Amino acid sequence: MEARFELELRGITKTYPGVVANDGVDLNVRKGEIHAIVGENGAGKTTLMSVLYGLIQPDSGSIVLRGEEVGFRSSQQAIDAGLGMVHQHFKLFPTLTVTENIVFGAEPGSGLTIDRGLAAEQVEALAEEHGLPVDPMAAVEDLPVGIRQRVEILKALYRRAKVLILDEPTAVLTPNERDNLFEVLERLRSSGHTALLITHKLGEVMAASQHVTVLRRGKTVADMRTADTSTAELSHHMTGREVDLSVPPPALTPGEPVLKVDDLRVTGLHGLPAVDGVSFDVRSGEIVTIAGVAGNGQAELLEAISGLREVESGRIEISGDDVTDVPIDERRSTYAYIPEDRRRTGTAGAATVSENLLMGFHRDLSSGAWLDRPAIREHADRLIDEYDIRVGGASERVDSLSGGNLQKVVVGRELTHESEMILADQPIRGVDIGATAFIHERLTAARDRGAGVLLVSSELWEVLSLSTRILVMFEGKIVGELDPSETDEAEIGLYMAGVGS
Amino acid sequence: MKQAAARVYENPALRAVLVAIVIGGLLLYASGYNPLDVYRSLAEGGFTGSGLRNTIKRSVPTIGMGLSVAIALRSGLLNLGMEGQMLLGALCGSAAALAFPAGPLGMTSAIVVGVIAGGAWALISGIGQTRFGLPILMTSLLMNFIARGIASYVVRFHLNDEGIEAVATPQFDPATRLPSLPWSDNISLLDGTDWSLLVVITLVAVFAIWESRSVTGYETRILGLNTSFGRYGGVPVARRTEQVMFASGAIAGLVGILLVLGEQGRYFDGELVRSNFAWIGLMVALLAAYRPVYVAIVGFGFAGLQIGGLAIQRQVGVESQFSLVIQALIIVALAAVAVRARKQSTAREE
Repeated sequence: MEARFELELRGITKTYPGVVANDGVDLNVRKGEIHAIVGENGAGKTTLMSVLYGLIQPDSGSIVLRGEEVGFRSSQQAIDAGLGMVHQHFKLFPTLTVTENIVFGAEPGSGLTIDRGLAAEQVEALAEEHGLPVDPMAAVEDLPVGIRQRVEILKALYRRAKVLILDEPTAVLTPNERDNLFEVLERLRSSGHTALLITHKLGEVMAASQHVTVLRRGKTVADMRTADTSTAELSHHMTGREVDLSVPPPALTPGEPVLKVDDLRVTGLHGLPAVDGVSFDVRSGEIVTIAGVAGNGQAELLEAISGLREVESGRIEISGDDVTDVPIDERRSTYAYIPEDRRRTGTAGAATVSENLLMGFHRDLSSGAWLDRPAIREHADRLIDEYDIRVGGASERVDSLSGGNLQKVVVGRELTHESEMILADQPIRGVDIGATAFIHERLTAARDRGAGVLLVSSELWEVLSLSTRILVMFEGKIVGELDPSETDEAEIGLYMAGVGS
Repeated sequence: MKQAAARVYENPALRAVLVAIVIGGLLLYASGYNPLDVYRSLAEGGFTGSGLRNTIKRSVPTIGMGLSVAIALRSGLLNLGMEGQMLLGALCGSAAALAFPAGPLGMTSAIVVGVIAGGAWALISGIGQTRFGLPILMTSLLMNFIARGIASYVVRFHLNDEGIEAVATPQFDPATRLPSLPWSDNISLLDGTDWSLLVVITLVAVFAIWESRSVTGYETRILGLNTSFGRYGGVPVARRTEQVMFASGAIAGLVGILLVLGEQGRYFDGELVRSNFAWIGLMVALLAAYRPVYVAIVGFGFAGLQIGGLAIQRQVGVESQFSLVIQALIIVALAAVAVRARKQSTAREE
């Protein structure tokens, strides 16, 4: 008898010291469906997928694959059973070719030698079969992100994966590449594959999936057919409350420029120009957004403005002062900065929440050479309260926080500086709806007290809802300036892909 | 009881010590000794009677060099030049002790010069990194060999006491040497222990207070945990790097000059290198996770291991090197435990 479900997770429970990551989670996936798994940060999606993929062992619960109970002690066993993971951060060797990446670890040949010709043929055949055209001999580092993802998918298919797990697959894609991915998934579905789509983005759930499971605080709270639900209902299940993502219009007319960038050039990796002759300004009381696909020089631009990265040529003025050659520790007090990578740049993981909230305030909350410890405690408690950071106490390690809460630590610290200028690099990346609404509210509040905000975003709806002005960046250049009231996602998307002008 | 056992198992340092003791025991057993006998004699030799007295004295360099390494490592700086810094502190301090009039002035100027010499030698590596991008790890390590050469040359050709066979400076005037602790006459445990013990204990306290309560202690701790975060947050990375390197070298220099002004009474060429204090300090700092109070505890323990090692040679005929094997095993086990812990924590990452 054919099993009713392709894959079942029954009562999966996984506890870490002090946290129940999964609390009796059930998941039922039918053969040949795209099954979305949604939930806020810390809802337990990642833990659940790690359990499924054999990366961690659950405390209790079982995995049933095609009617048979299985238990994976390692990801290799999961792969052998026909599971394939497409990681959010691709696990590819950039300098190797597409073929080498795909066959890695399962190379055709005698064991000692690899039959490269056969490998290339197999890859080509596989690509054709699934409608995923790639150049088998291209080096991965030369490929755009969308194609790299295709390589990841092919890698899983090459290992005969029947169930694909895609972890936030659209985070780095252009709108076009995203649509492409969904077409590919649809084709795979029709050829009998099953896909688990882990995401935050409810629009994608509606567009691509047939079934959706919602997790909240480690529990399954809903399991529905996508056709029977709506984004509003999903968001309600995810957060347990209504979330309003609308943003009030600017209260002030833009005033004096707080930031002027003039013909800025910055060198990036491999000595290539990352920022290539960019000029613009940001006035007080406005949010200027740099829209673009990640990796088109936005990060380097913000690093140059902050002083983290050296400038090749050009000029940067903050609040009227030329800071082009001022070292970062001397210019840091003139701006607030929410960096792109909250783990690597925005926090020190092994330090406490309090120590992380202290950075930049430590010279104020001190008398002479000595820290004012009561004032520091008060500062931390106030920010934890004000920014609703979910943590046991200020003395806990900051890396015990979920992504969204960690981001609130960074945002809270930076916005409490009340700086004239705010740099925000993808402030809602990997952050759930509740935290997104909160961060947007804080950024607009800063705008309305007269700060100038420079926002980098690749989320089109965010770009459209927050911006006073939109600049689109492509390959290190600003290729378009748009008025949010006169443009739409399609137009911005075209500029982002470099074909708008 | 069960809880206490669980706590030992949770703590990586204690776990490493446990593993080392077990493996060491197996080694002893395989070599035909009774491990329990050897360990008992090791413990008695290091931590009772006259052994304990020697252990207290030996704690001065093990704790002191542990602090020197710890202050650099906790700030994210891989200063492995503590040996050279200690040597030059001792050497320059000795020169000052001989040059200045005997008595408190000679002693004070010897210490001041020793501290500055050690700090300056380390600062070269610091500046090499901040201004020229030369990794501290490499320059500091290689400069140990230069320091050894300089020290040998100076002692042999410029400060040598022709009256004795060894290559060494003349003996310091008793008035220049470190006095014994005032209570050492009454407390037999402190018999023969000089002021260097008090200096080192003070240093532990100052380090602990600085690290937890000062602005620069905070900034450098953050640099040690995540340099990118510190830089992003506006910490003046270059200046702090140079300051910490100076402090680390200064502590090493201080330990060096305290040893020659106290116990040794003159600078013997090669003596400080042979004693291995610098590298024992590195092990102490690693096992103590760079925390000053733990450095004091671990430094005392390692001193006891060494003194006890001499005892087992006398009593059960096991080479005193066995204690060095145990120390090394502890560090290897610690590294293994740390790597395992890191793997587990990355598996938890999203």
